[in-house]
Amino acid sequence: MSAERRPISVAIIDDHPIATESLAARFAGAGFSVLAPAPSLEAFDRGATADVVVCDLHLPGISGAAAVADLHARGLPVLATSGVATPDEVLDAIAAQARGFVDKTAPAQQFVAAVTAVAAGGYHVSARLAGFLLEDAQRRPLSRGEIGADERNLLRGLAQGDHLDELCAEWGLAAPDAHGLLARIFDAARRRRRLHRPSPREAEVMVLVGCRGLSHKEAARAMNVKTSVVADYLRTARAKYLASHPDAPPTIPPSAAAAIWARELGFD
Amino acid sequence: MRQMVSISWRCPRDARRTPHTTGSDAGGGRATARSLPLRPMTGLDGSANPPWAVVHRTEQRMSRMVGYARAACATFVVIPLFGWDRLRHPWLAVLIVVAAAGEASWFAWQAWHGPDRLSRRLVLTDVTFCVALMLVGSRAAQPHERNKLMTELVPFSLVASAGVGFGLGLGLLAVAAVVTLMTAWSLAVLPDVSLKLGSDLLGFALWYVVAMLIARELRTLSAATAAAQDAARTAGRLAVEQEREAESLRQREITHREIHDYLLPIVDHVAGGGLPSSALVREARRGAQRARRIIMDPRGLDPRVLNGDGSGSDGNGNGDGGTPEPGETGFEAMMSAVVDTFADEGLALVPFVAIQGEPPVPVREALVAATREALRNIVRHAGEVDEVSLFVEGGADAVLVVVRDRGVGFDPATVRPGGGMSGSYQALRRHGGQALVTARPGDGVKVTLRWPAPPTPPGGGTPSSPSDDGAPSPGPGRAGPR
Repeated sequence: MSAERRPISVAIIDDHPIATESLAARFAGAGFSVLAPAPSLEAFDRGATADVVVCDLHLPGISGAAAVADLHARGLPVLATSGVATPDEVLDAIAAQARGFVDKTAPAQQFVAAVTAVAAGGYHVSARLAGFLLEDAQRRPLSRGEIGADERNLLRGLAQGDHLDELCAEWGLAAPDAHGLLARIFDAARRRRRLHRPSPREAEVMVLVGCRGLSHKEAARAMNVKTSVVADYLRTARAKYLASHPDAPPTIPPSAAAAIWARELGFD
Repeated sequence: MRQMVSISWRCPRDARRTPHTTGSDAGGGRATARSLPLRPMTGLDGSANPPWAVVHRTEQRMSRMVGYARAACATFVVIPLFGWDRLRHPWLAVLIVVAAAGEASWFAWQAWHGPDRLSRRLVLTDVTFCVALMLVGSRAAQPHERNKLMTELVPFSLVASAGVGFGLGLGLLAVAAVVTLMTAWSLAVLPDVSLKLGSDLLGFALWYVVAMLIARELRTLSAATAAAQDAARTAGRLAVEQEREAESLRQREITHREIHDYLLPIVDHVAGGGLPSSALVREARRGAQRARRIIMDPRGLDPRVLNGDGSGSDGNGNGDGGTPEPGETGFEAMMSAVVDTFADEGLALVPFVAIQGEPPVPVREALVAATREALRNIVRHAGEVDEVSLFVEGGADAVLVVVRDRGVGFDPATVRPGGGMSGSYQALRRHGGQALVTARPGDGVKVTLRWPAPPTPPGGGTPSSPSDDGAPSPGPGRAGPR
């Protein structure tokens, strides 16, 4: 309603001019007010106020999650986008409080719908994000507060390519209820990420021991901690790795798990 | 390697300590062993090479062995007390027992807690004590009975000889120490000189020689072990490095091929001012999809998948009849091959494939064929579609496949039942499945494949015909949240 009086303002942060141009044109065509696009986080006006910031997850010199976290800290709602982000990168962005994700190749109307939803304080779950969230819930289930059948079914519907409003209409679901389900889905996704991702210190140990082949002693010295602490970090990382990789051999040594996982996560 | 180790391991503690023997070394690994620090107190430990710890622990164990012998042989000096009446100075014998017990305890404690091989100070102190013990202790017996009643001083003192062998090795100082021990005993037993003195003196010499030889063997062994561990470690690192290089080379080759075959021709065409055509757009879409897969999906780098070019899904899983290896010709692999095939054709596919368990082979094949047909229809009929979602979920007992596009769609009223829904959908029905096509003009097509077919509701339409505009009945994988 208010959107009709004041157009939704959108900022775009993307280092690729072609992508920025086409996105800006899509938004302008939908009647949004588009702020001057920024090619990087630094170039983005710190005082800018936008209803939604559409942020590419592959910006120069910063991870997608870090960029999202930075924008969120400024009180800006973020809609993440990327043409090449891996599931982990997208879920990291969600953990950093992104309110949705849209494929860069998605049709214009999906971007418009996503921006509208986020500007209204809601979430946007594309079919791809729904798939990532479903798989994440399946691979790394939370022992407490995991999403229930209702949330799963909503994600299934979205992953099947249906739009949220179509599902609401089909199931007679009121918009606030759908929002509640999505809020629970996002909350669980963030907690799952915190639990099942290596912490920064664990990641450091994984790189030192797993990728660079340092001994525990050497890693301990590099990190300025005791050798036993390094072993503890490795054991925790291994437990997290096994929790999120059910197919991995349960007898895998911590250093091997660290090496494989670090490579998988692109740490090395 | 050894040179490096001996430099980096040298520690302040060594500098503070009385230097070890500087004479010729008995063991091959000795020079290395001596420069190793023994306690993690130098601050250099972190850069240490763990395999060399074995050298250092072997030294420590040898020290302890001498310590055990010293403690055990102290019991010998008690025996003269049993000849109390025949002793000239019985209380001197008691004093000898007390002194020997005290010295043995001190020596054993030092050897146990010592950080490395027996120190020269400890060995020489022990030798001096034994010399004194023999010279003084022998006085407890009558002069002509010294090498009978007080002969137990010899086994006690032999340990000092062994200590010299372990601690000092081969060298002038060591030989001098052993000769001193022999001389001291010879003087101690005077005038009770008999053939037995010869065997006693031989004992001193042999204990020294044998101890030195044992130490040399153990040192050689530990140095070899350390070197082997070191070599294994280096080889392991090398293997990892080589594997990484090979992997990186493989990835570079794949990337190179993809860029050369699928991206460069398009970019060159555009750069050369070539006119955009539908063929170019199709090629560009295909190139973009393939490039994306290389960036996003590690599996996309698998040459097997990239070289499959669609033939993979047909070749997989056919003919064997038995339970296939999951992961190779399993349902999930077959579906992944379908995804790859269509992605390579430039279809903007958003896949979700979650399969746990294997449905029967004919069902699996029917489902895959039907999925391929649904996707093929999109490529043929849906026009320019921006996004197609493929949802596959299920396992051994039930499977749900939903293919959804937002293309031009069609009006169900204009299509005769079964029209265009040929072969593969019928085959799925024959295997107990259901194929449901929902379409609306301008709003794309949704193909829902289910196995097994849900119970037909009374008055329900033919499963394989285009259904009404209404939503399909919630199936096993899709129920409303309420």
